[in-house]
Amino acid sequence: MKSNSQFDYLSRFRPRFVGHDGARDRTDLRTEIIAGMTTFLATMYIIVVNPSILKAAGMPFSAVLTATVLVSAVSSIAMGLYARNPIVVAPGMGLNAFFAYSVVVGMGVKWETALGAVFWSGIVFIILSVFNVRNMIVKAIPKQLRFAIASGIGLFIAFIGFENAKFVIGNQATIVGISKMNPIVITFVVGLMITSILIVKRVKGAILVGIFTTTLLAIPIGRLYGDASSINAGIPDTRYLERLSFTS
Amino acid sequence: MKLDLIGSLKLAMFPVIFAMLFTDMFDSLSTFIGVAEAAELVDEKGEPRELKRSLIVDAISTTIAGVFGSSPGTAYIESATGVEEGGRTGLTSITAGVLFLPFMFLSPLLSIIPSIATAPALVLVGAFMMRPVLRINWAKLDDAIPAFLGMILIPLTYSITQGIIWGFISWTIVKLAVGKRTEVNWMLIAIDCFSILALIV
Repeated sequence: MKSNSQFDYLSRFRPRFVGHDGARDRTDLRTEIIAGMTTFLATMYIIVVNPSILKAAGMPFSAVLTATVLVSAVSSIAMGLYARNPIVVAPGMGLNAFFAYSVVVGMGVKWETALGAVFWSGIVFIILSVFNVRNMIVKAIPKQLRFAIASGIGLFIAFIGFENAKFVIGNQATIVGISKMNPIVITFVVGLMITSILIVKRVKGAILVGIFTTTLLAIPIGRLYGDASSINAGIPDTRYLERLSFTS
Repeated sequence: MKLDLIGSLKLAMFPVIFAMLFTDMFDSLSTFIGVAEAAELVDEKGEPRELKRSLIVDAISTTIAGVFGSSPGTAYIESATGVEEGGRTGLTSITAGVLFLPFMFLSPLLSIIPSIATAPALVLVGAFMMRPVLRINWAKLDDAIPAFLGMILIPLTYSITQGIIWGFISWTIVKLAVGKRTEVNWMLIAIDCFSILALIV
C-alpha cells in the first residue's frame, strides 16, 4: 500500500502520527474530494442562513454573507492544512442566534460592540488553546460522557434534519409532532429512502447522490408550491436577487 | 472593520463574553469529540487526533469572525457527512473550504439545493453518529445515568452545551454520592463551577 502514489501525495494532509498503513484511515484523492463536496453541501446553508439571522441584529445582509463565506473558507482551509482534520469550521448555528437575539436584541448591546466581544473571546480561546487548557478540558471529560455527547449530537442532527424537512413540526400540546403528508414531506421521505438504500449498498458518494437526487425530485414541487425561499425551479431565482440587493 | 474593541471590554460586557466563551467552547469541543468518536478519528491514546491544532484553528476562526463581521466560528457537526463518505484527511476540509469561495458572488445559486435535499443526509448522519452509544456501560448505572442525561438533553434542549452541562453535573453528583472520587478530577469540578455559572448568567 505504501507504494500507492496517491497515498504518498495524501500524506501531506494526513495527521502527523497516523500510520500510513492504518486500514481504518484508508483513503484516496477521489474519496477526499467527494467527502469535501458532501460536507460542503451539508454546511453551505450557513452562507444564506447566517446573514438572515444576523439581520435581526441590524447587520447588513450582503456584508454578513461575504463575512460568512470568508470565515468559513479561511477556517476550513486552515483546519485542513494545519490540523489536517476533515472538519469544516464556519460561523455556528446557535451561536448566531445567541449573538442576534440574546446579546443584541435581548441585552440591547450594539452589534459593533458584540462583534468586539466575539473578537475578544477568540483571543481568549487562542490563549487557552496555546497553553493547552482546552486540551486539558477535553481530557478531563470522562469517556462515558464523550460517547454520550457523540450519540446526543447524532440525535440532535437527525432532529434538525427532520425539522428542516418540516417532517417534525411544532405542536402546542405535545411540543413536537408530525406534519400532515404533503408533496414536500413526501419528497423528503422518498429522498431519505433512496439515500438509505445507497448508503446500505455502500455506493461511493451515496450522500452526495442522495442530495442531488432529492434536489431533482424537489424541482416540480418548487413550481407547484412556489416556496422560493427554500425550493425553486433550478435556475437562479431573480426575486431572490432583488431581495438581496434590497436588503444590502 | 466595524467591530468596537474598547466598548466590548466594558465591565457590563463580561457576562456576554463569558456566555459566548462558554457556549462556543463547549459547542466546539463537543463537536470535535462527537465527530472524532463516531468516525474514530482518534490518536493512539484514544484522544481526538490533532486536538490542539484543531482547537487553535477553531479559536482563530472566532477571532477573524469578529474582524470580518460574523458570529463566532465553530466546528461543524455536519462534517460527519463527509467523514461517512470516507474523508479522513485535511484534504476534505480544504475541498469544502475552497468550495465556499465562489459563493461570495453566486449566493442566489444556493437556493437551487432546497433544505429538504440535505435533510435526509442529516438524518442518516444521525444514525451514523449513534454508534458510540454501544460503548456506554448501560449495566453500570453510575456511568449510564449521567451519560443518558447528557445524551437525551442535547436534542431536547436544542443545545449541545445544555446537554453536556447536565451530563457533567449529574456525573459529579452521582460519582461523589457513591464514593467513586477517583472518577471526578479537579478539572471536572472546575468545569462544573463554570457550568453552574453559565446556567445563572
